[in-house]
Amino acid sequence: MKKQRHSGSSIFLMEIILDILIFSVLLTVSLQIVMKARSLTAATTGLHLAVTACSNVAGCFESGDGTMDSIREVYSMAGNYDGYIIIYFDVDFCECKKADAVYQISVAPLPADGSVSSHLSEVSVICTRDSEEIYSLVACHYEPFLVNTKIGGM
Amino acid sequence: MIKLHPASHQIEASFILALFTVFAATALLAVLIGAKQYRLTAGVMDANYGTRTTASYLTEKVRASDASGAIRAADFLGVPALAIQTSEGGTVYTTYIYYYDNYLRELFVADSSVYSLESGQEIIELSDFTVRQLREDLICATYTGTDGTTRFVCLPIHTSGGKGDV
Repeated sequence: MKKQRHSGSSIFLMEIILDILIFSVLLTVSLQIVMKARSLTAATTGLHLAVTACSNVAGCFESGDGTMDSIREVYSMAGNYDGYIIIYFDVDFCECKKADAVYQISVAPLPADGSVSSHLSEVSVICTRDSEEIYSLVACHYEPFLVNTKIGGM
Repeated sequence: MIKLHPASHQIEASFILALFTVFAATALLAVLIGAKQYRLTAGVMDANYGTRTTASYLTEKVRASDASGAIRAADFLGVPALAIQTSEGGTVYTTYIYYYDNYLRELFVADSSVYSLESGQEIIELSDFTVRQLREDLICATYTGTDGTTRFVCLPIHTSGGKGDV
């Protein structure tokens, strides 16, 4: 009976094939991690800019006269939609027209409550991308009561 | 005497060599992709840090000094600056936050003292910085980071205005 002998190169071939198989599995896993890291980085940047943009919009409202006009003074390209406004931003979070928008921030008034309602107004500020909410906050504007100095002859 | 190898052995050796080349190339590619991703992430983190630090610094400065008439956008030795006035012991001091020589700087001085643009403390490296007074109660600061992206931050001033009587 003739006994078949494997050559050294054949064993080396099998070893390399096995190496490549293991490497392929590891490469697939690591590529998925890299892709996830990439998407997380993009999401973090978006969230980061959304927080700043929402804070800016809230700041405009809080420091103004408690109306939407105080926001429109700063964001001139904002759309007015029957009581609420939408501000459009491009990919770098610079204000732009609706057609070029990637992100949008909608500002809608919240119903007033309490005895100081005439002096306190609230709006919700919501940042979205492709109808998906990224960040939101509530901004309050308080018009302080002024003491009438004429009372009591003061 | 030259010993000739069979043709199958030569093909086998070539195949092994080709496989090893593919293996090495793919390994190199994986390392390059990882390095590129690391560089991207580090760059984004750095840019986010610059953006956030500048915005937070300006916002906190305004909030901490929010007194009536104390904060305004001003011209400081020819450059736009955020000026915050405080009074201590009858002496008026002004904190100027401005951009000079690639840095956002802060300078705390008495109005009577002598100073120059170089006197300010370096806060963070930027490419540009301007301040505008949009309303009496709203200042807008625009700044450009070292990566070239321009951002702006609204700085509301709460100590102004009021309506109605008690």
